[in-house]
Amino acid sequence: MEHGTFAALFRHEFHMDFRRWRNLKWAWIYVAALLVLALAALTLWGGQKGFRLEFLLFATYAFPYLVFGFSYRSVKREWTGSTFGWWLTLPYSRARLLLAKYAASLGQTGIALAAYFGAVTLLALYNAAVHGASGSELRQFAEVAVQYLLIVAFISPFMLSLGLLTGILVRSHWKALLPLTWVAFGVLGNVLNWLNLARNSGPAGDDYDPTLFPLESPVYWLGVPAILALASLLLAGAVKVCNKYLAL
Amino acid sequence: MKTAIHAANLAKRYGKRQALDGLDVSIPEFAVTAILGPNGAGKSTFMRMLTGLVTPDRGTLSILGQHPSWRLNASISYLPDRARWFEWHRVADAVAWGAGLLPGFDRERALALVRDLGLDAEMEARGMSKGQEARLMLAICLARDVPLLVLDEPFSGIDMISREKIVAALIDSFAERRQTVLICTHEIAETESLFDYAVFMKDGRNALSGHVEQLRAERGSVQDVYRQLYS
Repeated sequence: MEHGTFAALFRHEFHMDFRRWRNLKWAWIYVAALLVLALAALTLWGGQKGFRLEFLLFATYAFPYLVFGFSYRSVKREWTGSTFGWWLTLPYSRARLLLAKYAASLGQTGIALAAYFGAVTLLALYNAAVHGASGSELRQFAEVAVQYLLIVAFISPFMLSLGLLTGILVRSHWKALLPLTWVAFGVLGNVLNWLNLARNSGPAGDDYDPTLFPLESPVYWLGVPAILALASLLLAGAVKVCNKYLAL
Repeated sequence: MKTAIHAANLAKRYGKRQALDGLDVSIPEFAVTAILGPNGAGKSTFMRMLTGLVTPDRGTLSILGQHPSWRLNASISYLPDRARWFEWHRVADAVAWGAGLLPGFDRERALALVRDLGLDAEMEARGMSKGQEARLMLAICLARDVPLLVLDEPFSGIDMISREKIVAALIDSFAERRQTVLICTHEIAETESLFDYAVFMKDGRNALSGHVEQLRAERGSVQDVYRQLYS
């Protein structure tokens, strides 16, 4: 029984959202409309002076918030859907139950990132085909895109832990900590904007530099362990609250 | 008769409300026990304590010779109070969930139960009536071959036909298995025939408990005892 239970927990958590998205027809209509708009915009303005392919990456700014939402919602739906009695009485430790939610949210994050950066890459290739962008332009775009992808990937473990902790605090005796986690959500979720502001004091335009950190920057190897340590701390906090301080 | 559950001086407070206030009770093994009482008597708090959802402020609780814990939940099939099912599940998904995560879960029995309870494997939980959802949740609980079955308000807010189907399923299940069963309910008239033992709770305490046959001989039906205690 023990063998494979984590996989079963993961599947349960992961598929819940997959089904939800599959059934949200209006959401797919919005996605299709956005793609059509992006294609039309690239066709009309893609070749003009001042247009930067990197502008396509600005939607990445929302990703840390989205990632938080994945894990926060995975806990919150247990309270709002009145399913917490099934979830919390499963014969597995709360650490295991929360780790399954964490892993499923991480999986969803990976899929969202792959889908977004896949779509952006296709749009960049389309723009190059229509307006004849050079190989160096495409390479430069790819380098910046990878920087954005890496930053989002690195901040994600922290945002996922913060989402889980916030979701757990909602039904705990430590509810008073919620304003702090929401402030952390607001401030730290804006990480890409802070990084960009730090590098660009002027308005976006020809001089605008969309790069964040070169790939060889020590920020990556210095920052990642710190982010992972913080994420682990928050996750451990969520488990502790779930074990001792739930208000059911 | 051996004791399956023993509680001594159990207390639990939610803010200003004392949900349990020194509950002492012993519940016999392999009996179907009714946990009865008006709203706010502490029934659901006691049921939640059995599965570790709620921890007591004081007192001791022994279940099958152990303290409540997530490990012990492998031996307890629990139907939570006011629970809903995962809304994106079909009936088939619910059965797969049970088979993957619940020790002692019998997939074939679950499929037979949902069929007998008038549910189709392709039905989605979010489109179900309250009665259908209650039947699905009960089927998931009854499909487990575990020593202890704890059903908290299995008939709450559901129609008469669903109630009859659930009672019939319970009777079949109890006939087939040797389990200790606890049922918390307000539907005494329809379920009285199920019970071997009854615990009447009042203000977080055990107001009266005993074997149903003995209670009937001394004080009348379970309904009569209920009226004597609470009216």
